[in-house]
Amino acid sequence: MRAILNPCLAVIMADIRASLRYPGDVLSGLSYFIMIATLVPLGLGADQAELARIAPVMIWIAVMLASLPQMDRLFSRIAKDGVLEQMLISPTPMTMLMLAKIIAAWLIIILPLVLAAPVIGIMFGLAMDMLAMMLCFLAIGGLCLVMIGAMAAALVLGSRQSGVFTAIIVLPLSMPVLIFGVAGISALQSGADMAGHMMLLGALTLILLVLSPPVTAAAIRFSEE
Amino acid sequence: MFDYLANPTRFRKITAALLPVVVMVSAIAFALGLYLAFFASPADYQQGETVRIMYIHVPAAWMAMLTYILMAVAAIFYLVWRHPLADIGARAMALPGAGFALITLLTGSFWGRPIWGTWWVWDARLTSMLILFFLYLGYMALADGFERAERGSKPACLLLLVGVINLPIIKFSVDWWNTLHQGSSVLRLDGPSIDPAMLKPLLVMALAMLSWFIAITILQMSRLIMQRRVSNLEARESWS
Amino acid sequence: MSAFFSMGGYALYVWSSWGIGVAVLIAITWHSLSRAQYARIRLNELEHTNNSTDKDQQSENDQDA
Repeated sequence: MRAILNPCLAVIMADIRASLRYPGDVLSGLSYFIMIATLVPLGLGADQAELARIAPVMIWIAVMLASLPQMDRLFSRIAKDGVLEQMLISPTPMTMLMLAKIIAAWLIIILPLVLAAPVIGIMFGLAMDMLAMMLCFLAIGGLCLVMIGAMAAALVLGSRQSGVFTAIIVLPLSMPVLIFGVAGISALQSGADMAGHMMLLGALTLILLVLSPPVTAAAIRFSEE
Repeated sequence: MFDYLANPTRFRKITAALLPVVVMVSAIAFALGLYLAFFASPADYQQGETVRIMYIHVPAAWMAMLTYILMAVAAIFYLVWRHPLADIGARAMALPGAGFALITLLTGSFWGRPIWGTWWVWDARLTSMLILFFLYLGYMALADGFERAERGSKPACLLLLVGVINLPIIKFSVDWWNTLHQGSSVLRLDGPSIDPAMLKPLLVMALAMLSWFIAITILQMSRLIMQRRVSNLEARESWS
Repeated sequence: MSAFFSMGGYALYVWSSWGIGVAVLIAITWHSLSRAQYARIRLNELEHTNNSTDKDQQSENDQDA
């Protein structure tokens, strides 16, 4: 157990250290996120009720878009360094290492966005109790997004122009995340029960948890062949 | 059976015999389908003559889904048994598959305009077909996205499998989203049961499209086989 | 006859959909044919410029491809 856990923790720590060393990635992702949110009222008008209504959708879409460029680069640096190759020949199962990579990506990419989301929520006039639920949905849905993103990033590794590919692979697959995530908040806003939505999102997370790490590992193996 | 077909020479022999047959079947079925669709079937009592759009729309939708499933099966064959022909098959089917999805979307739009009053409604089935179309595009981009053509095969096949697992989830989520946003319940298309006079042209058109699809797949596969040999020869020429 | 073409007033929609459908099918057919033709010509060129050593290689390709 320790033999698997320790390398995984090492992967997570290494990723966090790397992102602290180059905070530019996280910061540009954050400013992209806030910028998308700023553009919407400028185009739509400043009607508070209308803005509060579309706030969940907009925050979700902003999270999806802002996390894309970073997910695209999830493996490119360690592929260049030869770290991926080392991971493949290490005795630790690649699937577990990829799971660690996904957790690290969630911490680095999604968590800052989730923490920044209340700011936008307040700017859009979301009620406080709604904000708290929104964060829960974003945190869980964000894990789904990262798992889809990891698969896509591994699949496009070494291709000619990975940026666009990741987008057209990730966005159709993450449609259910958006639907369940937004529906939960909207239900809450209209006073309906949101437990069902949360459970659906949870079920989706579990499916992806089974699917994503092995697929990511297999795709990495193909890229290193 | 796959081992038997996997030899390109044998593949060429079998397809050379098969191609004229499917082309013939396709041509006859198209002619018959056109006749049945426009002359031998009644106008719908609700939808009038627009029901004739169904005879191209619905078979195309069936084929769009069938093609994706076939591609996923080919992907399994490729990833598990490493038959290059399975990869070539998946690549060959992508273009007609995307074509079917496109036909479904566009004809659906032309059907929606008179019946629903708009070119597009965010109906569950239209939306999932749109996503299916994007999945086709993603596969094609990934399969052709690498410097060396064969390098894209495995990732693209893996993507097909992920897509086919995700497709029911996407379908479910879109259906479910649709029940939440049921703005206008008149927009249901599936009537009680379909008249046999309408079922016949539907099935004949489906047969026409299926045989057309087989013909195109054979054509594309033989093209891809030739192309691989071309790039092999070119590589050797640049070596010597 | 004109009643047939007017499709009960829905001519635009019915004929456009069939037109688009047939156009897409024809476009894909044409595209596949032309690319197959191009590949065949290119292959012929290469196989004819090279000589008998290629013949062995080709049968080898037949087996492992």
